[in-house]
Amino acid sequence: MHKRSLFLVLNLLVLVSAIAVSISVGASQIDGLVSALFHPSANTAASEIIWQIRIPRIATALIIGAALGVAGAIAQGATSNPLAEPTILGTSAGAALAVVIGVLANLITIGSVGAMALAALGALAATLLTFRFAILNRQVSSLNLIIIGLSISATISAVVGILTTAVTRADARSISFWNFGSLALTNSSDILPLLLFAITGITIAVKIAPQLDVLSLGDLTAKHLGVDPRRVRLLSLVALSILIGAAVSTVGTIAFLGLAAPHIVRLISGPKHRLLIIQSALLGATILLIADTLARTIAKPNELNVGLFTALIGAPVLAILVRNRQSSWSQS
Amino acid sequence: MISINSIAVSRGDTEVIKGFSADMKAGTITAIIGPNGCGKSTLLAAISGDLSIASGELKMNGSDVSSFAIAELAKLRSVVLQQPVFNLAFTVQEVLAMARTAGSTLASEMSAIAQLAISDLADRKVTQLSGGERQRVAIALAIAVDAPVLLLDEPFAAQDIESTNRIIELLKAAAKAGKTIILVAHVTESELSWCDQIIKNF
Repeated sequence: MHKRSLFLVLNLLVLVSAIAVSISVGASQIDGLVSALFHPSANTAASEIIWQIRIPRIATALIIGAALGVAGAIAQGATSNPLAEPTILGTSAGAALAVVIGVLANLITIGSVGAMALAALGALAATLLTFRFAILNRQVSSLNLIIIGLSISATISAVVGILTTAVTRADARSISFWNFGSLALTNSSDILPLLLFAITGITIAVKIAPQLDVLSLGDLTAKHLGVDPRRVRLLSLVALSILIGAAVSTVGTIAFLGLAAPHIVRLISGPKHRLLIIQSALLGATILLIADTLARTIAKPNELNVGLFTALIGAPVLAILVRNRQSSWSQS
Repeated sequence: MISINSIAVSRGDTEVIKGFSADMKAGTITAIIGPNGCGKSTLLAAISGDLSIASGELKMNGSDVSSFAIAELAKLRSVVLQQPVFNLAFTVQEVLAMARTAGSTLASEMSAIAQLAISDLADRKVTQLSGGERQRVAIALAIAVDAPVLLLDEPFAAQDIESTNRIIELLKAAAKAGKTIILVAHVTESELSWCDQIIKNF
């Protein structure tokens, strides 16, 4: 079997197992799990926990994990930079700031379409700011992009941290939520708007995937081949902002997933963006579900921040893969 | 095919080319030579539409180069850069397939591979190729498009004698088939006897 197909099958197997484990474990011990699973409308405590709490949370983790995986893939493709990631480009911080301001001004409630849209705008504004500042001699310098992105992220995150102390509303979130993310406060009404945003972002990403391939030949050659690099980059940033706006406004900032998922996929399946985007979605969903299951069970009944576990799973896997194999990126 | 009338081109604040005029007819090969920094690559970049001209007239196929949309220009001229960029580890074959956005076909890509004798590289990753090999892939990418104008910036810079001769034969055949070819070269005039026109004073 080709290693691409093997990876896909393995990923699906791990995903299905993770869903099964995630349904069966949690803060409360459930009797009659299988029966509850097949009788969603049975009026028992077991079916209520599974259908009202665990399954919506699993669905949320899968959608957001997919969104973060794809966001990383297009951020790296659009910038031709292996380090580009929503938390590094300022995208996530911009989304968080927009939501905190929206909550402070009583404009939105977290988890609503309005919050996601506002977050997407904040994400786009912050990312464009990073690009604007990173331009040197009319070209975006790779090193500048990362340094300026990190500075803008840090500055905005500091403002978010300060503002969270000013928010008194009950549904406002804490600073650790914005920094490390949590799915603890999500509910089933978040799923539909999340799905809408994720499908929109991923569809744009899949559409521009062949053009992202051409962009890896540099802006000049892309132009010579009829691809407008500015248009592709703008569409990428829009897709990135939609995906990150939905994710960050609902569960806060989850770092490392966007960096790790596409790198792992590229090492196994190669650099073609269409396949990369689809497999990064799948791997992102898998990693986030495992991370969230750990976050809510490892210290039960207390919940830990999910970002701690995405880093704990994603970072070592990435380091080992890159250490042992030739990277997909040019070394020069 | 290409008519240049008294153009001026600047890079930053420096005016590199001033009052330059020339004509390049279909089916001919033009070489641009001269010392480092005289503006050879700048002239080629202006013709390819990468740099806009400050004044004068630069027409390709009867229309101003600046009037074409990116996608239109891609079908009209292909360009080989002096230092091709390959950021991701695509295979040579995958890179050539990227020319589809400019109208290449599987047949034209295979023909490009054959003309440059790079079939042994087809499954190799472009990031692992030598400078000369990368440049041959870039030339293959450009000719796979099959545009009427072919612009090359120092195509022989990293090539051995055998590859240089192969590229020269390829360019001569392309000109015979009616293409307009312009290349920047870092060799003496005597080595360019196979070109129809040599531009050196501008």
